[in-house]
Amino acid sequence: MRAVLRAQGLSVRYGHRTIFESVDASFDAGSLVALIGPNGAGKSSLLRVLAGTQRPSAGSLERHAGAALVATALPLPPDVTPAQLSGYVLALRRPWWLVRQTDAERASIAAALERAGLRDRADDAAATLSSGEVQRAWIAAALATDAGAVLIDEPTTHLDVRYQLEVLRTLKTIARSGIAVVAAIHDLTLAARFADSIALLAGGALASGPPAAILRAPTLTHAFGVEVATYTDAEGYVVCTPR
Amino acid sequence: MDALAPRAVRAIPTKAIWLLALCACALCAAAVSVTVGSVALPAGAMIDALRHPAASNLAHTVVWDIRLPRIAIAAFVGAGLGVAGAMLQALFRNPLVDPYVTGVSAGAAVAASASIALGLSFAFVPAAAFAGGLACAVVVTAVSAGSSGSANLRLVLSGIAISSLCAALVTIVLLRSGMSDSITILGWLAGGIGGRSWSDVALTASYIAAGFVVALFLLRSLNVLRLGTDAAAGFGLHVGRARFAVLAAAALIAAACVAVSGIVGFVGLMVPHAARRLVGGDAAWLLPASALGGAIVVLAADAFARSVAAPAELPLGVLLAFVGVPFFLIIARRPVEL
Repeated sequence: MRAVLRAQGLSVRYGHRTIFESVDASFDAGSLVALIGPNGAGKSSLLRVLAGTQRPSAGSLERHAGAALVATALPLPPDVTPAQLSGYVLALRRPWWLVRQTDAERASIAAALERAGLRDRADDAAATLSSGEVQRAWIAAALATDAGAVLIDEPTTHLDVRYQLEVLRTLKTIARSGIAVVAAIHDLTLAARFADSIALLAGGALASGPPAAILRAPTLTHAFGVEVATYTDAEGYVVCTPR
Repeated sequence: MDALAPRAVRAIPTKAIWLLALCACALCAAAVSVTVGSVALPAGAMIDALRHPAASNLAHTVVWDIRLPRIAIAAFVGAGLGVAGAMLQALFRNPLVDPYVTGVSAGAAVAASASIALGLSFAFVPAAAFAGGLACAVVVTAVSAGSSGSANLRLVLSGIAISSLCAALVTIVLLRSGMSDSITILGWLAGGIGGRSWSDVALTASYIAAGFVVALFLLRSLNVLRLGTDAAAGFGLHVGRARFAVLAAAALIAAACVAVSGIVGFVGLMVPHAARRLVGGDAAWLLPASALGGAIVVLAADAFARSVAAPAELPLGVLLAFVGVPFFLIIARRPVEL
């Protein structure tokens, strides 16, 4: 598969504190990568560096397409609709002399809302949307920018299990349409179920591979500092539970 | 896409109708304001004076040289404070913010007081006020930088601290000024727009118009900043640059208002709230609605201040404080809704 983002030797330090060091990673088009790791491991920092909104302390990043970052649990102002949200984001890219939304922008917004499953709620105010729909409105805004990579920080935070599934299914569908999706996720079992590969950031280093290779009891126990048991369910997905 | 269009299209005429209604209200407030003042003029004489700008009599002098410049200043100051308040509330995502909370007005007041005490020409007072207002706004913004939950609290507290320091500096300026300058500064600090000429109008209008033009270019940034700085950065906005540009434009507008009218508080706080209820939070609609709403409030308040104890006048700032403080206390108890 074609690599959309390729990082080499990335390091992030805040003052004297090293968050992670010499991280190499590649994120391919069409793939959903779950970024897991304990709190404070640097998942959000890594996503910001990959999106280009934060400079790494060291290392280099090759970006072969635009990247959009959706930050953690973002609320929406109550009067903003999903279509408006995408419109605001696209307007940043419009030349200053063009005042009105272009036909191309309107088409991008409609396509993005369709892909995020929000076509019927495009013009409904955020106050009337469910938490899952708000999260999908943010994902639609990222898609509307025609980004080749969508980086999303904790997309399932504050969502009940129904909306968690809804959002992760949306991300999976988006990935299948040829976009590189990187999602920082805390629920290891959901990560195993939906991700094509897992990137575990812990102890300042990144390990990545297929779910079965990364989500192993000794690896997780060492990374999270608590004993974690894993087993494979009837459908062949890895299930992780703390002991 | 066809399914997206109808409701969005329906929403625009409603907002446009509100803007037209606000325009009509502003014109009515201005018309009423022409009729109010310490000199009672018959309606016929007033209409005659309005129809013949070149005439030379008492009615003409009262209407063209006293009331109309005052009305123009009231409209510009109200519009400016409304827009500056709306910009700052969107920037800080905090409905309790206005040019006073962020220290812009206090900084402008220090610089403007010092300019008056130094005997500078009025043409330079707005520029000095802009520098003072921007300096305070930058300090307050730097202290409250960050996206943590306490950022808004730090903003309000640092604004109060800076404003207190500025009040102390104004006192020092007053103590070191002569009697005549002190009286001028004190009268100006109480907030008022009496005794202004057409040259004051032209100067104030040029500063405020410059700020409005910059604000026009910042509408897109304001809409994205309203979503939060993390979201804005994630979608490619250079947040630091955009925040500074919004702050500078708001400081320029607010400083021009402070320079000409002194401390006229709470317009920048109240008006964007009301405007948001009418047209929503989209900056492209909110800023014009706030400008018109601000003009209506200051025109009405000035007319009331001139008529309630005529021939004496209540200071405009004092009058608005009696309305603004209860308003502030009510919205401070409500959840944030921008």
